[in-house]
Amino acid sequence: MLRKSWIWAASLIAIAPAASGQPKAQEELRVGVIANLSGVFASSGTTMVNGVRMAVDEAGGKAGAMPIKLFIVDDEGNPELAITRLKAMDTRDKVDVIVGPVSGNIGMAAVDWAKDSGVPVVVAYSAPEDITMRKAVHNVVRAGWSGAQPMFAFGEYVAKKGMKKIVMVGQDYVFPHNQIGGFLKTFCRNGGEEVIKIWHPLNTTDFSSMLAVLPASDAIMYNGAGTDAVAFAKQLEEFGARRGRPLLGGSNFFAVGSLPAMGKTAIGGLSALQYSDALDTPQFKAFRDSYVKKYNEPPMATSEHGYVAMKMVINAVEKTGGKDRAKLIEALRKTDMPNAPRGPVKLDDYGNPIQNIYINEVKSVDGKLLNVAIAKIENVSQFGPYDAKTYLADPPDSRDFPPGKCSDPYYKKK
Amino acid sequence: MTLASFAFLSLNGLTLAALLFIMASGLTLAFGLMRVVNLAHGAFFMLGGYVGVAVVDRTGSLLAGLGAGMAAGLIPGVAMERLLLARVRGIELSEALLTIAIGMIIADGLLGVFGGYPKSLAVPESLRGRVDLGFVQYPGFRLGILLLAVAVGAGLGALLTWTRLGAAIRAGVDDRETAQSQGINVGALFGIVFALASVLAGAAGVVGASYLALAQDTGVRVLMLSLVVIIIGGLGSVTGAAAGAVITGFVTSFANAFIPQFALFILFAPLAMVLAVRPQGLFGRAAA
Amino acid sequence: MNDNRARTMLVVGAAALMLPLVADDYVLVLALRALMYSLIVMSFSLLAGELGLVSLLQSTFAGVAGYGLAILSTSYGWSALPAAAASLLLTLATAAVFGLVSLKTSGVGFMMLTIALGQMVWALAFQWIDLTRGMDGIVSIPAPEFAGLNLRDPRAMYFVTAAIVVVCFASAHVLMESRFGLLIRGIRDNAPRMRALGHPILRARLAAFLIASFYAAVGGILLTWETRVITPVALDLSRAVWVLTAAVIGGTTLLGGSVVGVVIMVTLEAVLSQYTDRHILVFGLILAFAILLLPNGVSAFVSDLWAKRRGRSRETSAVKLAR
Repeated sequence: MLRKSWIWAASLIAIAPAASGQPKAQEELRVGVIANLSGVFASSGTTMVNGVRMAVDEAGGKAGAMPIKLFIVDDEGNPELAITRLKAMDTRDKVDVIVGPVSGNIGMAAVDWAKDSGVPVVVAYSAPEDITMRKAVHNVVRAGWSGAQPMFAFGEYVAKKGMKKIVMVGQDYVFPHNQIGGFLKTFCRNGGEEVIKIWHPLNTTDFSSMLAVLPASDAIMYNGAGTDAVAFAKQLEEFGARRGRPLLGGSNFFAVGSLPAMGKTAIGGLSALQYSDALDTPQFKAFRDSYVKKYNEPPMATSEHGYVAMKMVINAVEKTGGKDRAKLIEALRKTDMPNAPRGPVKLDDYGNPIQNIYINEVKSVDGKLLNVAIAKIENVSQFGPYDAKTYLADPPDSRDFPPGKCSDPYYKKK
Repeated sequence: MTLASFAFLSLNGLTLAALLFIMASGLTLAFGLMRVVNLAHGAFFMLGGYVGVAVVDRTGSLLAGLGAGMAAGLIPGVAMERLLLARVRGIELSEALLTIAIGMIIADGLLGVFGGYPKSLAVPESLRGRVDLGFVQYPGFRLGILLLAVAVGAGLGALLTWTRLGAAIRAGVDDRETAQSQGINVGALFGIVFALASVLAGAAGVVGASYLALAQDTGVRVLMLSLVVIIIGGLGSVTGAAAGAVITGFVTSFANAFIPQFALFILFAPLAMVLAVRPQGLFGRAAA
Repeated sequence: MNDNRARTMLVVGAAALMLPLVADDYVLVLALRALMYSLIVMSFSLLAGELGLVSLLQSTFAGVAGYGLAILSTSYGWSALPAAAASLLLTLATAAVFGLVSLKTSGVGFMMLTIALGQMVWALAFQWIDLTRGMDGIVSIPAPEFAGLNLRDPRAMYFVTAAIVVVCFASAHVLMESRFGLLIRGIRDNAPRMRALGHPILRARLAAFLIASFYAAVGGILLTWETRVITPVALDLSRAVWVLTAAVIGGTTLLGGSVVGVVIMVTLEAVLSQYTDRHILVFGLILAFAILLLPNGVSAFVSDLWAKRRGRSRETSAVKLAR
């Protein structure tokens, strides 16, 4: 009988090494890439990874002299799974740097893990502002943006265009909170009256009831992206709830990948982002043409960000001549890329890019729907027109902060 | 609330109820007769949906898509019943667990084949317009789903009331042992009812994909809603499924309009009430 | 407790304790998760095997405890032990309410009810964003320090967890060998007879249900301290099905089943995820096979093999479950 127990014990211990991954290889740069490859934001995740691959190909598969090995994982939009996979990439695959994630909630969870593990992380697209503000960590930098960053300019633009009362339907999580937060802070201080906020849980595809009781307003804004966004745009038309009002979007609402599904209803739609589908610069055109050639579809903002994030890593490795962690982090933090496809990208002290913001309008260009930049604001930081100290003194954005009514005393200061 | 919005919300409720009824009617019959809750029902919905949507994308024909979806529900349904459930017939828990396993296999398989991008049905242009009902204008396709559900209900009703097969099914639901002793081939009945339920699930998947996106967790959500419907309505009763579907549809529709943040949770309120007051459901029989 | 089982438990326990010395961080964390999940699976097996009720609420209880801990630690700044204690109480209260609602039914009806109740809790966690932060989940949950051991270190966490798991399993074993265990098994085997003899059926079931939920809650609290994140996925039906699969594969005998099942699932998941994303499909196949071919689970299958070699036989749990 004792034999059986020894078998149990032996097998328990024997399983241990079998579950481990490959042994550590010779000098290569191991890059872990994490993104939503399934779920509501699958299109954003996959295109981000496309951008990463393109950057690796352009560099001939090498960073300096080291071959690049990519480990690509799907976080399924689930923070718990993301942390499990990040830990595995660190302990089992021994990655040197992480590129990603894409969606906001994953980004917030990843920062925590990054603080504990010390692995350098280049956040490709996740935009909750606290990643490079209240929860900033030395080994985490961003290739992208913070949710409010493009919205400061947008809020001012919309208010000055005479749209005083906006009804906003949005996905209820941290990133859209940041987006409308940035919007309100300038909207209310430039003549706006009110933003009526209607929040819905992620993964809502049936807006019929919400649209049945949608309040009157000067404009409608959908503060969200992905499949929910496409469903909203389509149903807005289907149910005749638009009533001739201009359609505004959160920064990802009119992502070029979603436009064909939205169709004609998107034309004239306004949004703001640090990227545009039809920039006139040589570096953008080169990027776009390579991407179209490789993937047979136009690049999305996420593609460009994945591309830039990977380039940041490659540049940092080449600059330091190796993959020493501390040196890599310092080099990443000093990133200054004047010729990124979207325009100049330079990191601020908190690790977030200072860059151009474009006000985009959806237009039909040669039969294709694209976001065309109709205005450009340069050198915008994550704090917008505000200085860091004053901004950080405010509470973090939430569903109810900043307040939707511009008459609220909060807007009287500054 | 204006008359127009009230009418709108009511129609939303009815069309959701329609979809749920198509799903739940087969599920409840299968349970009534076989005492098996097919927990793979949601997976059949997804399977029918994905296949149907793919066919519509390729051929542009809604009818072809619907047919394909129904076949996609039917084939695995029959296979599951004949080959697998038959082996553990009578052991309730094993049957239920087996349906869970099949559901997992189908759902994950679909994820592998069709990828993580949520998909919806491209309703043909001709059917996309709104129908003017006087006090409100409502999308035609959704009204179509309502008509389909009414047809299913009428068909089932006719089957159960006026045909021998229907009588046999009713006898089996009432008292399986006695029905068997009367010479009714209960085993064959199982196959027929299960097949019917699976076909309905597949069809529901295709039409449902017009406004619910097919994604990873859609199958579970639809299954959950169906379970709520049949628990409220009473296990084994098609009339109950209709009642449960209407209640669920209306609660969901109005809740989504006024408290969208809690709409999912509010759905369980009618369930809780029914369980507290009449645990066998509105039209079910008291537990033996 | 017979000699053989004692010896087995000792050897397995020793092997488990030696693991941190031979394993790297990655395997250690896997083993850690396995230990914690085995508590949840044990709570399932307790109800399924001893009480004869298949409850898909066990992972829900673990999740409720986890959320209680998360909310109290992060939004209200409670320290570790009081937060854990309060979460345990919260879970017991939830189990009491759910138990009263569902324990009047049995068999498939009971299982469906547990599914519905579990989904209700999930819906609440998903949508009560002010409290649970919805799909964002709660992050930065602090890991406590016990007597100088910082639980952020996986090795320290491992020893604490192993100790707690051993105590829980031992107490469950003692309980099931006591008169209470006899009563529970009696109700499972022949409830009308027990009722006729004057035993309080509902009260006994409820007690077992509460005890099981307690173990699940402990597992949930440990998991939350380890991952330091909690999202509504913890309350998902897929999590409940994972627990079910582990129990069915392992077999519903108390010790062997839970641990064996979990170790198999965790190892498979880790190995499979390097080659394919389709591990759920594989689990479904394994579950189907287990139900069709090995109705008593792996541990009983192995026990049966050995028992046959010694000329003995065992009452199969399929027969138990079928009653």
